Amino acid sequence: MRKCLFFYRESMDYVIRISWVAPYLLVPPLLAFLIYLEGFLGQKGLGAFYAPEARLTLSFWNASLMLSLITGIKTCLFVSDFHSRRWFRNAQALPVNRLSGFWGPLLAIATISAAALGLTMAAILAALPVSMTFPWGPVILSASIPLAWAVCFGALLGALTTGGAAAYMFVVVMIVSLLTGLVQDTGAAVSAAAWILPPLGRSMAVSLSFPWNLSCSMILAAHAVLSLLAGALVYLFRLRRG
Amino acid sequence: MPPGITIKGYSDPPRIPELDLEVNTGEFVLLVGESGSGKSRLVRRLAGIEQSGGSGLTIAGGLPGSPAALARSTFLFQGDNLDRDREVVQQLVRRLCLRGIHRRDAGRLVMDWCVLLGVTDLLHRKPADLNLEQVQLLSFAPIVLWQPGAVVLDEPLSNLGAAARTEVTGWIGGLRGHASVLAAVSDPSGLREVADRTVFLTDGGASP
Repeated sequence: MRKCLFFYRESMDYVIRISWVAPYLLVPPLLAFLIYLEGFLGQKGLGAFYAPEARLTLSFWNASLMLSLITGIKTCLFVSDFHSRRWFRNAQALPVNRLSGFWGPLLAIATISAAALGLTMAAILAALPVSMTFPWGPVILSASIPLAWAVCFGALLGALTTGGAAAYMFVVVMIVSLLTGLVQDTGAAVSAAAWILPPLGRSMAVSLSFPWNLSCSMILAAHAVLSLLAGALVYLFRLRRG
Repeated sequence: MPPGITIKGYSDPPRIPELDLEVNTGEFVLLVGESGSGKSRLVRRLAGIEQSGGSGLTIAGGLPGSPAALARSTFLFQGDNLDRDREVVQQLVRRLCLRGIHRRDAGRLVMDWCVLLGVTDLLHRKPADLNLEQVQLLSFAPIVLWQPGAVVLDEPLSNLGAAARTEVTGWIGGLRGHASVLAAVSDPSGLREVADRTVFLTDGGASP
């Protein structure tokens, strides 16, 4: 077990540092501002007035997207930097599972990000009124998948290129997939384009309209899994090339 | 006893046309070659970090990079054996834990060893804050505190002052009894006296 968790522990040393966790502290005040703004605009007739359940769902999604953006950028930077360290290459001569050099850092980032998401969701629940009939499971699941996608896709980009370039690509893909999805008709069938561009915005829009389903979230999860596999292959290929 | 390190028909053209070398258990072989002669690459290939292109390398009874080989061998590279940005003690303890030593025992071993060396004040510092000699000395901990079956060292005396060289030479000499030790160096002085054999990398391959 130690041999599998070696790089996870080594990565955790970095990701629990204050400087690493600090950007996550931006999420609560930004989220509070967004919730206030949505309520204020709704009352003034300048925006959509959401039912309490929809406001809660929207808050979950806002939190998830903010965390995903931060996590994705940090994953790109961290994975690229971690893998390019000469110490990391020399550590391959230790009796450790070689593939753990890829999933160890990922798991460390996922641990911190999931903790941040969990705390944020708990804060939202404490702040907003909620009925007992609220569909907790699907809403929390669909709002959590973007975070998993951000970690996996960030790791793929981080394994492919330099940290800065990877982070730039991540931000572009995330914004494009969010905006294009938000303007689509949620009632229309999911297009084949969702298999090329992650249906991030579409998943969010579907969650806010009823009746909704998890098909877009499942496609997003598939994107995450494919990114993870591709990232592992790129990592192993780069390791073999030296 | 079978040799702990076997190099058969190894080539790294144009630097090393062909190299055949066996390091028996309990033997210390010094591989001497000029800077750029392919020594470090050979060490990395023995560690399985770099692909050897089908050359006949075996270490500790396994192919380079195989779990069996990595479990019984230890490597000291020319630099960057420790991460520059994290506490030394944490890194050394984790490395010993990988060898099956309990965390508490590993912590005690590292501490006792550093007391012996008189470097306890360095344990809670990062390699980036230490000088090259201190880092090189501390990098020896996983080799000295654990009994590996095979040890491969790349320029083990570089960065060391006279006193530290004597200390490290003693450690390497002490490994001879139980491990196959191969040290790649450009300057054999200091180690040649304790080595069982010295092999020179020349243009035409290896010469004793």
